[in-house]
Amino acid sequence: MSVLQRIKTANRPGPPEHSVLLRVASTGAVAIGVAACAAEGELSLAVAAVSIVALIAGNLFSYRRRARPLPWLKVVLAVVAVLAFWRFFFAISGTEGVTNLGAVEGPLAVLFTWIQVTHSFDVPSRRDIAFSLAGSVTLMAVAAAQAIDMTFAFYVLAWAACALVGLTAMWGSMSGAGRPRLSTLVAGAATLGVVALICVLLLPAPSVSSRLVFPSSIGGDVSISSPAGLEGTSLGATLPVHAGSAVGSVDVGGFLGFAGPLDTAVRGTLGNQLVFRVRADRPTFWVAETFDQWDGQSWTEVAPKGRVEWRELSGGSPFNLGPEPAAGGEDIQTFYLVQSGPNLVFHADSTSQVWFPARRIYIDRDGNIRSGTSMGPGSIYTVVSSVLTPTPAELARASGPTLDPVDQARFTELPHPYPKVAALAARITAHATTTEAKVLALEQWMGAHTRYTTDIPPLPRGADTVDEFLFGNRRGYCEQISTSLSVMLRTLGIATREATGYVPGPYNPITDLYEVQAKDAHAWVQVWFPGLGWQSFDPTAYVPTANPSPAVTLGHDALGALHRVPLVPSVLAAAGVALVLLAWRRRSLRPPTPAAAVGAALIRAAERGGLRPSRSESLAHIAARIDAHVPPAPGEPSASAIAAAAEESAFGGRELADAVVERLVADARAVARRARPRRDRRRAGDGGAGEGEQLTAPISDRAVPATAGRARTPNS
Amino acid sequence: MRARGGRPRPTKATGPVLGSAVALCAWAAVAHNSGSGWVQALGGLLAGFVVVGLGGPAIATARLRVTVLANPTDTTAGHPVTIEVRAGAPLRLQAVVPPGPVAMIGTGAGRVELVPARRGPLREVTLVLGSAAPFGLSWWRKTEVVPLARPLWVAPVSGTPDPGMLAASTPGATLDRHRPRDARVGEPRGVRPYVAGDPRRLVHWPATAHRGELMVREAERPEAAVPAVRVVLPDDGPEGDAVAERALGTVLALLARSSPVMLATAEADGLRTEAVYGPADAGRRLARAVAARGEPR
Repeated sequence: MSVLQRIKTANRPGPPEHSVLLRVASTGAVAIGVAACAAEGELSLAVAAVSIVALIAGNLFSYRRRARPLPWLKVVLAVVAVLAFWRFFFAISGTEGVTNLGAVEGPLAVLFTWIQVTHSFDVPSRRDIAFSLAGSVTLMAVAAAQAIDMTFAFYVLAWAACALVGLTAMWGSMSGAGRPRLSTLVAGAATLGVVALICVLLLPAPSVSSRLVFPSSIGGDVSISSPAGLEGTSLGATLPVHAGSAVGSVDVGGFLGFAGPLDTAVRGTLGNQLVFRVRADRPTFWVAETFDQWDGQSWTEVAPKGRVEWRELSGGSPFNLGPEPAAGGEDIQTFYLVQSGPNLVFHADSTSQVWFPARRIYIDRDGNIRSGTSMGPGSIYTVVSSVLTPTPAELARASGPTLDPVDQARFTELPHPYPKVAALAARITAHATTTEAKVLALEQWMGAHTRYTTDIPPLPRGADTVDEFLFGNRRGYCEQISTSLSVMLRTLGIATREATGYVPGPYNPITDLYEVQAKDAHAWVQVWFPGLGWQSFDPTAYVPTANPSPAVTLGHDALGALHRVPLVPSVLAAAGVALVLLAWRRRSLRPPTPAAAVGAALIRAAERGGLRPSRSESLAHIAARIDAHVPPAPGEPSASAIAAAAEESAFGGRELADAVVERLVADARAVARRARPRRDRRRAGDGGAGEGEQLTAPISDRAVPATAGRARTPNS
Repeated sequence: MRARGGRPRPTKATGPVLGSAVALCAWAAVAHNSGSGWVQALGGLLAGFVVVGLGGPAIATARLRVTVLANPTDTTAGHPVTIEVRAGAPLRLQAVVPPGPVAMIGTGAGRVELVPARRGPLREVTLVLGSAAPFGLSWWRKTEVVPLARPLWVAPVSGTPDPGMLAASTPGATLDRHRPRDARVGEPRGVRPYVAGDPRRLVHWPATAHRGELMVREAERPEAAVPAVRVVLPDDGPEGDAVAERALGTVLALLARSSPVMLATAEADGLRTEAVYGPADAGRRLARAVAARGEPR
């Protein structure tokens, strides 16, 4: 067979596909893929709307012409497809190629969409529809690459439903079985769900390759008024940009407390608002700021010369901040901001590179990074850090270059001698010989002697936070706890600094993102280890909560779990399950044979008429009793005739035609309506005299006077 | 007799399985390196579709049951015959012993064609049941031996008649008790009352005068005049079939000249010599015939 013949054979149209369900499911799957791309910003809404309309029109056209496909249409569609490919290559020619996924995905979505739209005009056979169905996966994949939240689950579930129905309809069309059965769909959906869940659970979490160009975009491109200045430090208008006075708590959500100084007197109540998502290789602290100077109430960053020296980095992404990652490897974090935030660039420790969509960023001597523009919702940036996680043994024998004297003095400076704190720290660490052992001893002491709570009274004016915490009620939260550890270590001559940022937040295994909420804001201590640099310690993790009540804890956990459950998907899923159960129940209640359906209707008629049919009675006998009590009017079918037909079908081996079955069931229902007591008929709008009521009342009830029944009613 | 089935086996599974495995591995690699959890989750969903699509037919095929509702009783070797079957689920069906073309049974009941290649009684049929449920992505099959609703007698193809036997046969011989026997054949046995259809020349006038009603002559059983065919099959293979074909051709030719024909065959339960009155009769007898182990009675 020559190549031309092979091509002709491959392009020979298959037999026309007549299954409407298969076409609808396939079109739905493609349309959902297009909508998903639009929802994730890969397609504009206009393009998506036009594409979906064209998809529907194309599939309608294909269905009408399925038996007579137009040969010239293939040529036209091929030309359009070539143009779409040409447009795609033209669009990506100016980018970094395949390494820049973000730049490729948009044109790719447009290409796939137009391929699907053009193909929809020529889908006469089952093979063509299967291609459309398979092609919808590419659209979903492009959209999934950009999806970072659970709303994408809507599209995935809808697409999976369309694909499931389409594939089962394809088998129904192949085999001639017709429409898929509900049980098949339910079993298929359950198996799909189980396999998908197993895959998600077993597969390792995705990781970003450093060979790719990292995604970045800016939500609000507004330059900061002063270079390296700090702006947008809070979400709520009520939250002060700078440290406020200790007059009470400030109830806000979002980015709270990231300001020039860290005022431990401010009481912020943090909510569950999602502030950003992080895609990272490992969980770690997301550092926002570090502070070197403690004044008894606030932490500030003053740097060696009394003011912070910000180094400007320009030229655009990537911004190289320092040496290449150490031998431990690199840790890549991509931050997706959900809320407007300060122009702080969150990062893990030891940042070496920043991919940020701005012309310039600023970094200070301590590694704090600020952007030159504000960051609104939707801002994306990526940070590459060095992975250095020393073991306790490595920390214990840490050696190497130490801090220079200026920095050593800066990171051990205290506003006053803290004699009680120093004595306490010395006593606690009396038997510790290494820095790591001293830190550990202090953490354990705090865990044993202090309690965590956010419900603490305002700091008295002029009071010292550390003294108040360690020698007062010993209750506080991360700011008091970490500050106390830092001060105690400084009294021992160990260089420390206060760090603020966020704990990793809950990990979403579906999106592979850490979802950081406002309540994940945190403060911890960084301790200098020679040769290893700044290492983070979180004393708050050792501190138990104050007076934990089981009921309150359980209630809080339950409320938290409820809050995390997405409302709309849950309601939709519950509704779907309820519909499936309802359909299953209706199906299970449906009589198995036509004769049984007719028989059930007649028995219902007898029950409605109060005849109380016995299980030992034959259908013919019941029907005779119905006819005796409610004689059929001229022209109306008698119950006996209906019963005879049903019994002949059931026991005589005579298959009834569908039309006959429908007529028999309708007749039996008419008999049931006829046998209904007159008061029910009046209720149904079919008024009448009381004669029918007496006629059709149960025999045992007929002897009961009507007044006796009325006398039993409580309102009489 | 109950149906006997084999284990489900995939049909041409290497390509789909390898293709799916490669595609899913590629997907997993891209998803893993892209860092997108949703791409990985979508890949898990696709894996679910692949697992159900490739493995689901195994379950569907294992659960397939087929029964033969009806089948004809007589056919001729090499001629297609259609049997009616009922299946619990949609399936692809093909008879292999005896062979037949592929048929799709979509709604539970359908027809399957089979072409018996050789003569003989057929009490069961070997079917290959195939299913691609629920998605139609891959086929699994199993072989099942299904009993027929009633035996199917496959007669041999009618061969060239034996000219010697034709020449030696007497035209008009009959053993049919329901037809007036031709008194010209055989020895006179007596008289009997006339029944409508008796030839006029058989009227026995003296007996008629004696009895006061029309009486006709009746002959003895004309066994000597009825042609007899003794079939000795050399084996139950092709040579035996060839002999059976010739025998059937001879019997049919003899039946065209006179009825019945005495046919002597060896059957599984012994030798049998009986008259055959028509082609179906003869076909069935020769379908049952086996290689002789003794002389026919």
